Amino acid sequence: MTAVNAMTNNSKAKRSFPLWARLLLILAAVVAVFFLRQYIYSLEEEKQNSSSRLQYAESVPEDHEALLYFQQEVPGREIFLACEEDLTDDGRKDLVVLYHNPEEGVINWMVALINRGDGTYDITEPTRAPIENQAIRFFNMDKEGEMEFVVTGEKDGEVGYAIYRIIDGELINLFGEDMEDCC
Amino acid sequence: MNAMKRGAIFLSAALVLGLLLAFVLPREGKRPADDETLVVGVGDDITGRLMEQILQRYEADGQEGLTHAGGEDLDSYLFIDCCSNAGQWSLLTQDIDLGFYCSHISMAIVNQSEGFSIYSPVVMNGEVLGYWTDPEDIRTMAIPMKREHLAELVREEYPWVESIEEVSSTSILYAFGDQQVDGAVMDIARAFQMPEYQYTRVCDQDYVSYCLVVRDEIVDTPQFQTFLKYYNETAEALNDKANLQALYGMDDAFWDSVNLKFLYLPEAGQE
Repeated sequence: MTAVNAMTNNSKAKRSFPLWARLLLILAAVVAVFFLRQYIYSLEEEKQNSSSRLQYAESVPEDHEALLYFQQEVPGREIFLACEEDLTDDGRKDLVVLYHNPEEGVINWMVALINRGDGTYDITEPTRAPIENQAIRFFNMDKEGEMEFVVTGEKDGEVGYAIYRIIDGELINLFGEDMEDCC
Repeated sequence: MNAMKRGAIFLSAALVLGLLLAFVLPREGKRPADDETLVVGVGDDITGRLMEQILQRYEADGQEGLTHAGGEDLDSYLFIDCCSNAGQWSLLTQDIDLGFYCSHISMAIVNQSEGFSIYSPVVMNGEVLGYWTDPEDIRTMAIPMKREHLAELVREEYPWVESIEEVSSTSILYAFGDQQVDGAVMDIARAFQMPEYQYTRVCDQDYVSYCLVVRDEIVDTPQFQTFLKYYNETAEALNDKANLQALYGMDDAFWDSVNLKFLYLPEAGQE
């Protein structure tokens, strides 16, 4: 009787873990491992790429003199990127500011604050700035006088790219292609 | 053994099997750091001349690891014009690793597919204006096809031009030579072929003509870093008017009136 009971229990246990459940488990495990593998590889790739990417400028602190000047002159703007560099080759640091006016729709703007050297700045006419993933890279591409800077960004996956130089106190896009797709 | 135990054993076995499969299975191949050749796509324009000089420097130094589409090694990848379908597809299909493209096509490429970037601009003011009498007399102007940024530039700089006609970059010089148009904006290398005509700069303000577009995964390779070094040395040499004149001829007036600039590329660690 005991042996019969044991066999019955065993067959019940087998029935409670049917073949389809086992297959489902295996499938779930394989899928989980597949995603794990993709995740690990993407981390590796990101690590590799980060060393080769061109270096973009970092935003200045919130209490930066030029930034405070901008906030005083143009109040009520949400600033999301502000990077400094000597753009006019006069030995003084200027500032590029990307900002948003909360009273407007989804539109971002960019201005440059040109350092007069007396604690005040000339603010250029605003030009449209990218909506997402904005980045600025300064570089003197022709090794002459003024520093140029690249502005990149995106809007719904559309990449924008522009190269600016300050000419006669204005931001001039040297790249030709406008940033309408990302602004 | 109860159902729970068997389930745990199955799950563990499946996980082990899955892990083994996942990490043993081949993954998408990355470009190895060594024994690979960079393939650079260039058009039959000033960037092609630039590449010739870069290749000469490579050869002079006994460097390997670079070839250019359209050269003896890779005839099938010749692109006469960066705006041609072949020019764009050769990069997108990874037949080439990097290429020189005009601004418009550079943007089109990076927006068309992930994994490509504009590394940096390379040539500034790379076009010239050919004219017969005076630029102010131009009423019909030819520009190379698909160069929308040039069309815009012409509209701004020459508002008196009544008609802008897009002509393929290979035949633009002939359209101009046959006087089918009063003036033509063309790549500066076209002007080298017909030095007897009159040329001047397209506009006084600098503008970017060509950019270097790269497949992202090659940027970190030592071959690319070597390429940047040779590129910058070549750009420096070609920014000397005397060198340009020795290579491509044309008189002093031509080189004084055009404003060609080869731009520098940021190298590793440079800001």
